[in-house]
Order: sequence, then structure tokens, then C-alpha cells
Amino acid sequence: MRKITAILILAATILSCLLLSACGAKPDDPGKTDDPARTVPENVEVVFYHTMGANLRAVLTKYIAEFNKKYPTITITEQSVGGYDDVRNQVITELQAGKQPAIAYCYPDHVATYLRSKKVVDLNTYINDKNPEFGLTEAQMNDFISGYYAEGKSFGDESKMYTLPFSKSTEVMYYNKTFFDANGLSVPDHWFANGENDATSMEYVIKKIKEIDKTSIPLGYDSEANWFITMTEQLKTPYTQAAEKVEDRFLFNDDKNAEFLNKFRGWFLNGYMTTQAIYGAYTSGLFTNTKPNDDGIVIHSYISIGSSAGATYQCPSANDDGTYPFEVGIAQIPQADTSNKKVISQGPSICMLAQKDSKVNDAAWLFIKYLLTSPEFQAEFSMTSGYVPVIRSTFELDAYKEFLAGANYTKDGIAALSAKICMEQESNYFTSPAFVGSSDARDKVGELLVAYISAPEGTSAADLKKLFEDAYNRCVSLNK
Amino acid sequence: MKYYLKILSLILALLTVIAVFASCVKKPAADVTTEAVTDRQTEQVDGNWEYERDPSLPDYATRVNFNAADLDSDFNATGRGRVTVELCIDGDTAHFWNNSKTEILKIRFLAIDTPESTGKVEPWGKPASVYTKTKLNNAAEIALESDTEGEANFDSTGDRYLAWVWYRNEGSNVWRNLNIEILSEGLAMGKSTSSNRYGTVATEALTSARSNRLNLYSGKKDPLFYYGESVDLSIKSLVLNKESYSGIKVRFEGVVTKKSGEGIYVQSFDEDTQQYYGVYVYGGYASLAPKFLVVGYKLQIAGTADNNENFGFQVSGLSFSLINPSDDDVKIIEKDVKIEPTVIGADQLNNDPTLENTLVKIENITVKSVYTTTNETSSSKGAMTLTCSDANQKTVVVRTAVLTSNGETVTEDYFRNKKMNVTGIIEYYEGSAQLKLFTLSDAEILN
Repeated sequence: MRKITAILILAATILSCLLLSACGAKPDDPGKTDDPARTVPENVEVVFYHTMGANLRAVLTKYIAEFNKKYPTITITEQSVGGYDDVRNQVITELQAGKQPAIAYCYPDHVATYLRSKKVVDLNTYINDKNPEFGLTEAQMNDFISGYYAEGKSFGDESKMYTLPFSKSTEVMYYNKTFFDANGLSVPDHWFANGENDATSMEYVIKKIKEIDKTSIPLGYDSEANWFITMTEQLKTPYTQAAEKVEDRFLFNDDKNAEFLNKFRGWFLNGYMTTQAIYGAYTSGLFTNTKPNDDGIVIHSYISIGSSAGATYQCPSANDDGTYPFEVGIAQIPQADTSNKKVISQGPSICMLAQKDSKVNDAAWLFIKYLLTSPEFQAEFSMTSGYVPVIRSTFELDAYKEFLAGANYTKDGIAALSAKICMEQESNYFTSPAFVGSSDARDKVGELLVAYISAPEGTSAADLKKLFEDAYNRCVSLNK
Repeated sequence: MKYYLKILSLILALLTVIAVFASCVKKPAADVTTEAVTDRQTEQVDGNWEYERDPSLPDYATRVNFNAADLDSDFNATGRGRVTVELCIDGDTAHFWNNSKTEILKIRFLAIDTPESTGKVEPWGKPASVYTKTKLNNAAEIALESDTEGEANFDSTGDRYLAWVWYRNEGSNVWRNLNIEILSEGLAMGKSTSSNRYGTVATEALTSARSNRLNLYSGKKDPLFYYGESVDLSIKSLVLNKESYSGIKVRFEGVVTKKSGEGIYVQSFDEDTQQYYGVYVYGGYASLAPKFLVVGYKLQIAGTADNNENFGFQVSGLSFSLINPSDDDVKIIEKDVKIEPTVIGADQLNNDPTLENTLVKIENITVKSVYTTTNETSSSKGAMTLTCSDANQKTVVVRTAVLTSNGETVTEDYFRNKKMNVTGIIEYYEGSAQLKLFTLSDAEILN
């Protein structure tokens, strides 16, 4: 009996250990990908999560087929998972189960969260591979637009590269050029008026528009969070920082930020502006609206600030005879300080997540390298989506030059027009620091802006200040 | 005592094994429901898609509760209310009459994104569409619920409401959440799935579908999707065999005669019958489409033919490329092709269905009466139907787009009692032919 008992206890112990190791308790080691003797993997499947719609998937599918001509034994399974938040949530769920995809669309905020799993692959292990099949050449690295490339190192340790840019966009200002020309209005290049007759300030222009068309809402701004964050960059006021202590990460509860919100609040209360959350939909709908309401009045805006990748939505539908109700102009967004021009950099990057079989990661890298160093793919993706390419060589392609040359205000050319404006302000791009909780900060300052500017008239200064405090406390409590 | 210790050790060891094993075995996202699922095991639905559901899987659609009281309100006013189906568009969009039957609500289902099945056909788009349609058409009662208490919200287009779609079947008091059901069946991708009032269950449903490899996540081919090569044919062959080619990828050549919204009319001449045959091609919202879909261009077009009950026969799912175009990307063969409309009479218009979607001209007709669409919510508000007659008093029905002149909408007075020559596309409305005019210059007024 003693023997049987001992054998059973021993067997139980061994079995427990075996099961623990087999059921994924041991994390996939991202370091395993750093293999000096890498070879092209065979018969592996790479899963790629993204948010592409049908048109972009068609482009992706075409280039997967091209990739497979070179690497026929690598299967790329691309899956559109929904929106960016869906990709993030799906990846987080699957990281816990050890079933994460090899490649995922990402924003820096997402990667900051994924890093806690220790399964985000440092892409430098591939970028610096001496094997030319895998590594990037100096020329390939320099081909990336530097501002976009640097984003991959913004996770606290500059020696690690956790993301590579996939396609990018920024915010631009669309305006009704027909109306502006007809009324002698200047396109605003800064927000706040220096004196009553500062005709190139947004403050002056929206007031003038309201005087000309009393039923209009002169300005629509799509992303409240972008607006708040961009203002802090332009004004050099506090927003967030990567800090050890949770309480030290969120800096936006600051009187300097209340100053610009007080300005915007005044604009809102005067009926000069709205935002996506207040309007209830993308403000491009307000900008292009030609339908009268129940009272027979066509309410619309004359300025719309939104993503450069959404340019086609900012173009009104053509009349049946092919003419357009109005001409759309595109300009850079206004600045607070023209000597410190800042505009947000957005659009997806991609990250790689460690797999149980490191060969899958090797194959995933070959696919990433193929897509991101291909000027043809970047050009087609840009022309189809309105996003701008992340490598300079794209701009040397004749087809892309032709695309940009066709820039105009119609549906045919507005995406190119927007891309051109994007490229003109390449040096003004900023990204915010990414850390655990940075996405909460983004969400909360967006909500704060809406609550602050739309608080009923007569709301006390103390109550408005409390909105800042509530947003800060919420960020802290979410990350404690 | 030692004996008991040994027994205790043995039991502990076994419990350890069981505990470790239990922690390793993948748990279902939630416990299996006890509700009877016998009526849901196999569903024979339209379109020859037989879907066998594993009855042991949880029924997530009933894991969320619906307060079915006070449904006698209009969803568009209060954010909840009973509705009736007007039209099923695809897997995640349908049109409903509100409770008071005063307005048709375009509804985009919350939290889900089914593959395309109309303007472009993607794998698993048709099964998702068929599934939704079957559930809605067989429901005894349907209600909509907004994600926000007390108000209905628009989607990002500002044109459609976002809603949870609830239904109950005949003889049942159980309200089922269709959005979550579609997710749980693996017929949709997520779309902000976790950030809403039913986010937890919706996410569990999606995770379950993925881990159980259902439909879209099965790795199998969609039985309703055409995976074959494009079939090269003439427009004549295509339109004379609509049913045969529906769902098939086809490739043909033709000249663009008119643009209409996001689509074009394309026609080609047939030497045997000495006539033109035409087809409507939907270009979708591809940003490159306007560079290719130009009146007067002769194109090679590849796309999926679809005899769609909502939109009629059309070819859709076009792709465009300015760099290394594939065989199935739209190609420009020739530019500035001169297009002459075929001159026909009333008899041909009314009696020759093979002329559908071709560009024709009818001369010397007189407007007898005019009807204008006045429905405020219709995108055709201001469009007119002109009932005309030719010299032999035969009827010619002309339908106009919303016509403008110097920015003003053209009204009935412009056409009343006028004699004119008209050039347009032959379309069918409720089984009868009519000539569609797109611009004011399509009508040449003679008196």
C-alpha cells in the first residue's frame, strides 16, 4: 500500500507539472524570435487582425497573393475584427488564453497594454538581422518617414521597437470654399483673435459666418479628444506623462487647459461650433448637408475639422448633372502659436505578438517587411483609403505622382488633395506618450471637453473645475 | 492513523490532478444554458444554406433581458418601441416601420459587422443576410432598443439609427437579442462589441463563435459564395441569363452611357441582333472609382452579378488599381467613345425588355400629366414622373432624377404640356418600362 501510495503521489505530481506546462502557463518568449540562424519558414499560418473594410481588404488580398508568389508555403490569414477597440479587446482576451494573432493593427495605447503580457515582439530582433532575407537595410530604414518610425520606440525603452507604422493620417480643416470666396473670408490659420479684426483667426471667422448665415453652426470638430490633446501640444500645457505612480501620469487637470476650454465654451454657447458627440454623428454630415429640416431650413457648417483619411466624406454628393453644390477647400488646422505648429499623428501601426512556434513569428515578419517596404502596396493602400504612405519611395512612383497631380475638390480628387496637405505638415506631427492608462486619459479628456463646453449657461466656475477633477479621479481609479 | 494519512494523501493527490486539469481545460465563455434548444438545431433557410447548429453551445441571445413593457412608442422618439419589417438589406441592416407607422427607420444593428452582401459580396455575407432575414420575417413580434436610455442615436453616417434588435417567436414569451445571436453564430465580426450595455455577453458570444469555429470563423468556404474564376461573357449573355449568372463573378466589356449615384450604366452592341444590351454596375464607395467610371469610357469590368430582390439585377464588387492591375481590376480600354442613343418608339419601350438599361431616345412626345415625389424623407423628393403620349397616342412614362437648374430644383411647370425629345436609360418600375432622365439636358423641349 505504501508503494502504491508513493507511486500515485509521484504520478500526480508529475502529471500536474506536465499539465501546467502544457496548458499555456509558460508564456511564449518574445526573445525566442532572436535567432541568428533564421531560415524562411515553411507550412506556417500567420494570423493578421485589422480593421479594414471591403475596399482595403481587396488591396490587401492582392498583395497577399503577391507575397505568396515569393513565399508560397506561408499562409496569411487576414481577419477584419471590427474597429480599433475591437482589435484591442480581442487581442487582450486572446493573450490571456495564449491564442493571440501574430500580427495586429494597433495604436500605441494598445501596445502599452499588451506589453504587460510580455508577448509583444521587439521588432529590432528582425530589423537588425544580418540575414538580408529578414533584416532591413539602412536604405529601407531611412525610407520610413522619421516621425512615423519613431513612434515604435516610444514605450519607455528606446532600444526596443514594438511597432512599425502601417499607414497614417492627421487632422485637416475642410472649408466651404465657395462660401468663403463669395463672402471674402480668410481661411483661419490660428485659433484665437488678437484684437477684434483679426480676420485670419478662427474666433473671428466663425463669428462672421454666424452673422452671414444665422441658422448655421459655423464649425464642426469631429474628435473631442484630439482637440483637447492638440491644444495642450500647441499651447505646451500639461496633458500626460509616463510615470511610475498612477497619480503622476495624468496632468491635464490644470488651469491653463481650462483657459482654452472657456474660450470654446463661449463659442459653443453662441452657436458657433459643435463636435461629433454633441452633434451625434461625424460632423462631415453637417458640413455636406443639403437637406432641409422639418422647418425647411438647411442647417450646415462651413468648416469641418476631421481626419485626412475621411476626405471623401467631406465632399458633398454631386448633383445629377455632375456639378457640385459647393467647392471644398482643405487647409492645415489652426494653431495656437504659429512658431510651435502641432498636429496629431494618427492611423494604424502594426505590432507582432509572440507565438508558440517562433517560425510563425519569422513568417509574420517577412509579411510585415514585404508590406511596409513595398512602395506599390503603400501607394495602392493610400489611393484606396485616403491614408498617406509611411515610406518616401512611394512618392517617386509615377502612378502616385499622377494620383497627387489629380488633386481637386471633387470626389475624384479630394483624397489626393487631403494627402498633399498631410505631407506638407509632416514636420508638425506629434504623438502622445503611451503607457498603461494613456487610453483612459484620451477618453476622459474627450468627455471632459464635451461636458465642459456644453454645461448649461450659468454653471459655476467651481462646478466646471469639478469636471476636471472628476476626469482626473476617474483616470486614476481606472488604473489603480 | 498512518493508514488514514495515506488515504488522505492519496485523495489530496487526486484532487490536485483534478484541480490542475480543470484549470487547464478551456472553459466555455459561460455556462451552458438549460433552455431547450431542440427547435434550433438545424435551420433550413433561403438560398440553399443549411446551417446545423451545435445544440450544446450556449444560447447567448437569451442571456440578456429585455423589458418588453411599454413598447407602444416610437423608437425614433423614445429609443425603444415595437416595429415591423419593411426591408431586410443585409446581415446587419434593415428598415422597419416605427410603432405608429409614420416613419421608416433605417437601422444598423449595434455591436456587429456582417460581411458585405449587397454593394460588394464577401464570403459569409449572404449567409449572414439570409439568417437575419429569416429571423426577422418569421418573428411574431420585433422591438428596437437604443443603447442610450430615452433617445435613439445615429450611426457615424448620420443616416441610420443604431439599435439592438429584439424579437420573439410565435408561441414564445422569450425575447431574443438578434445582434448577440448573430455574433454567437459566427456570422459577424465585432464592432465596438464590448463598449455598450450588453457588452459582456456580446463579447462572450463572439469569443464563443471564434473558439467553436462557427461559420465565418470555421476556416471553411462559404457555400453561397462563388470562389471560381471570372466568367468572360458579353453583356447580352449576362442580361439574358440573369438567374444563371446571379452570384457568379463575371467579366465583360462595355461603354459607360450614364452615371447614377455611385453606379454606371454600361452597354455593348450585339452584331447578331443589331441592338445594344445594357447593365447597371454599382461602383461602391471606392475612392478610385471616379477615375474609371466615366461616361464615354469603354471598360473591361469584372464583378459579381447579383439578381438582388431589393436592388434588381446589377454587377457589383468592382476593384480598381492604378498600379499593376490584376485581370479582375477595372480596365480602361478606350476613352471618349461617342455614344449615340438608339431611337425607339413607344412600342419598343413598352414591349421589348431586352432594351432595359440601354440608352435610348424617344422623339416627339407630349407631357399629359406630372406627378412629383413629395415625401420629405425620400431621397427622391422632387423627382417627377411624366406621363406622356406619342403621335399615335401611345403612352410613354418618363421618370426624372431630382433635376436642377442654376441651383434651383426644377418643378412640374417646366414640363407641363410640353412637347419634347427625351434621351435616357430604360428602367423597369413595378414591371413596367419607363425612361429615366438624369439631367435637364436629357429633355429637349420643342414648344
